[in-house]
Parts: sequence; structure tokens; C-alpha cells
Amino acid sequence: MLRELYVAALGMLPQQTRLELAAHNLANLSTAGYKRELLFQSALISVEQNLRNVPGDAESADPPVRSYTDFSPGPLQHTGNPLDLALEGAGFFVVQDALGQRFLTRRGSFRLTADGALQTPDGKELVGTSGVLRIPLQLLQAQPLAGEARQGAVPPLEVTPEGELRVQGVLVGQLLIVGVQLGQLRRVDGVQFAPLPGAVLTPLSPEEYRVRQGLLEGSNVNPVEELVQLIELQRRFELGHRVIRSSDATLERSIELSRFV
Amino acid sequence: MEKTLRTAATGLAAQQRFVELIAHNLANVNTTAFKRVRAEFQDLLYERLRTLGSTAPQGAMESLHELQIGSGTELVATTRSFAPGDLQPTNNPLDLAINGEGFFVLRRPDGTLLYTRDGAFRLDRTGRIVSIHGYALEPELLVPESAQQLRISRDGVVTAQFADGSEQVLGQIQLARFLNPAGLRALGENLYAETVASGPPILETPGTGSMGELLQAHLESSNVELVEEMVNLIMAQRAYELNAKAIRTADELLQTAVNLKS
Repeated sequence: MLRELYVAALGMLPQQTRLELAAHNLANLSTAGYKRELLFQSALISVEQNLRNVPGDAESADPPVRSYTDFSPGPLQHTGNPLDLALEGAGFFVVQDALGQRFLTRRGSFRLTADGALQTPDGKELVGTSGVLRIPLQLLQAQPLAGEARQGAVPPLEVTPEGELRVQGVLVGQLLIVGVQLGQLRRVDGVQFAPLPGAVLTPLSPEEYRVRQGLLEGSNVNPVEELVQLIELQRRFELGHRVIRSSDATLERSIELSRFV
Repeated sequence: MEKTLRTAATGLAAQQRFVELIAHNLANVNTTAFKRVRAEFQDLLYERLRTLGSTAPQGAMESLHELQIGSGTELVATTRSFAPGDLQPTNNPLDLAINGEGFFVLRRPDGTLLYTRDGAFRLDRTGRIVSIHGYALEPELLVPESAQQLRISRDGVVTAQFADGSEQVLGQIQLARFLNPAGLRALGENLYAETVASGPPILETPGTGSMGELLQAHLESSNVELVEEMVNLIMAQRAYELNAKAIRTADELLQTAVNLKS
């Protein structure tokens, strides 16, 4: 009897965690490049254990829930900003912090620093095939060659679909786009991921991706799915509540019965 | 449960800020050369909860064994879009529009330089060409009192015509271009100041490279796109409602929990 109470309570606890996750995903509906975090719940007791009436994981202290990151792509949104890059297809941009540590991200909103690096909002710098990308600023300042002076023909800063960074038409670097097994990534924040020790980062060839300039990948949170989650977790919570109420009532009856024995 | 309430509250606050930005853009739909602002959101700190049963060695599967719950979102930055607005003809010879990336350079009385796309100029008492703020156009151009007409060529050469038909070249307007205009600091009133992020101004005559040419008797209108702003407004409102829904769900779960013991 008490075990039923306990199992029902254990069924209710993960719903709170699910709600916290759903709230976080919903709060990041507008965060560009955000990858949603999902929860999965493992079975409390295996069928076999249940048959033999062996106490299972249900007796463990924590509700057995784990979260994982959904890496499915978000919708591409047009921004028109030449320093907004979106990746179509597989792969991640590589950014590097001041300590030289590298992170992977699909959020390609950069700004140009005074020393010519392309920087994420939190100060990490975009990495190319030969280290951190640096744009020679004198090249940006230089006037286009007389032959190319047709107005607007050559944008000052161009990123080709193959990931080539061109300034005034001159190739200054190649973006490093890497692929990785998704299980080898650790979430740093909503948009950046760090490779776990031993993870293999394979540089992708330009056929496997397309870099789109002037677009940003939106959040991959699907509001409908999150709403369904909200409804589902609430009902599960209420079911647990029912089970507890009825076992409580049964217990009460048994106690009343004992008075007549 | 309390965490849900706080997480969803950050979502509500961020969307409210977003609506404020949209309102600012919409309010400036008729402001000369206004540049619309875009919101950038970022998620907040993650709390790592280790779950029991994570017996697998550190490595390949670790990401599955960690329970990571973030605590919401915030509006971290606003980016200005310097996309050009439509150029509209006016009848004022001192209205100028740039059909490229350039900015007019203004000098404040204290000597500092400011930049603007707003080309509605006028003459002050001494005959200097000044912006509507009263700041002098750089380089300073003095229009003689006897001038009948002003002609400003596409490459910025200002010519005064006199009653007797003679002409006098007064000077050439210089424009400034920035490597990263999104890094400029907006001072309001269509004025921008140079920052480390924007890089130093590149001064050139109109018509060189991507600077753009000058169009006399034209003004650049606001680059706010009504449809885009309305779509953003709808999205912000729906996102707000969804976050409110998360709060309501948390509230109802709490109520259910409280009712466990009747």
C-alpha cells in the first residue's frame, strides 16, 4: 500500500522537472540558434522485476529522468545583416574563447572587432581552417580596384556558400565547419556546445553544407509541442494525485476495519 | 515549481522588452532615415543536476546522463539594421539622400564628430550648411548670402549660382563609411557616434566604392517594414501567452499538490 503511494509520488516528481524544461524552452522561443532540451524518462521498474516482485529503481532516491539536446535545425530568418551567418545542412561553426578553448555553435551572429575578428555576442571569435579568422582591415578600407569599381558590384564583406570569406573580392580565409557525433557534445549554454574529451571533430567538405549570409537560424523550439508537453505533464501529475488519493482512501478503510477486529 | 515561475517570468520580461522595441520601430515609421532595431535574445544560466544511475564512465554517453535545466532568457543586445530606406523626392534643394552605405559627417560645437543619414539640412544665420540639430556639416560649407540657387552634384560638389548667372564652387561634401555600422552607438535623433566596434570612419567623396552618391532634393525614409514589425508583434504576443501558460500550469500543479491532503 505504501509502495503504491511512493511509486505515484515518484511519477509526479519528474513532471515538475519537465515543466521547468518546457518553461525554459518556451522562454527561448526567440533566441536565435537555441537548441531545445528535452527530457526522457526511463521505466521505473522493468517488467521482469515487476513479475518477480523485485524492488526496482523506483526505490532509488532520484526520479530517473535525463535530458538531451535536440539538434534539429531551426527555421532560417532573414536579417539582412552581412555578419549574420546561417548554416544549411550539417555541421557547426567553431568559435574560440580568450583561453583558446573551442566551442561549436549554429548561431552565426557575429560582430567585427577593432582587430578584425568576427566575434560572438559573448566575446568568442570565429575560427577558420587556419586558426582564428582575422580580416585585414586595410583591405576593407581600400577602395575597390578601378576595374571593379562598378558601384555595389563587390560587397565589402562576403561569405560564399562554401564558407569562403572574401573582402572586396579578395579571399582572406575559409570558415571551419565541423561535424561531430552528437553524443560527444556537452551543452555550455543554449547555443554553444563543447566537445567532450576524446571527441572527434571532422572538418566538413563544402558539399555537405551551405553558409547563408544575411540569415540567422532561429530557435528550434516548437510552441505546439511544448504546449502538448504542458498538457500531458499536468494530466500525468493529476493521475499521480488520483492514485495517491485512492490509496490513501483504501488505507483509511483498512484502518477503520481494524477497529472492528 | 518555483523555478518554473521564475523561468517563465524571464520569458515574459524579454517579450515585453521585444514589444517595446517593436513599438519604438513603429513609432518611427515616418522618421527621416530612421534605422530599425532588432532584438537579440540569449538563454540564461544552466543548472546541472546529476541524476542517479549515471554509472557509465565519463565519455560518449555523458551528455545523456546530465539533466540540464536553464533558467530562462534575456534580451542581450539590440542590433540596428542599416538597410537603406526608400528615397523620396522633396522640393527642398538642401534635402540630401545617400543611395549607398555612407553617412553625413557633422561637427558638434565642442569639436567632436557625429554621423547621420538624415540629410535634411538648412542654412544657419552665418550661411553654414547645418543639420536640423544645428550641427555643421563637415567639411564646413559657407553659402554666400547673394547666392540664388544651390546645386549639389552626385559626387558632392556644392555649387552656388548667382543672379547674374555666374557660378562658384563652394566645396565638396565628404561622407563617412564604417566597416561595421552595426557597432555604431545610437545617440537618438538619428545621430550616431563612432565606437571601437564600429571602427574608425573611412572618409571619402560620394560616389567612391560602396559609399553611394548624393541625391539632391531627396530624403531617405525610415527603413521600418510595417509587415515585418506586425509579424514580430504577433510572435511576441504569442510567445508572451505561451510563457504565461507555463506559469499557469505551474500554478495548477501546485494546487493539485496542495490538494493531495484534503
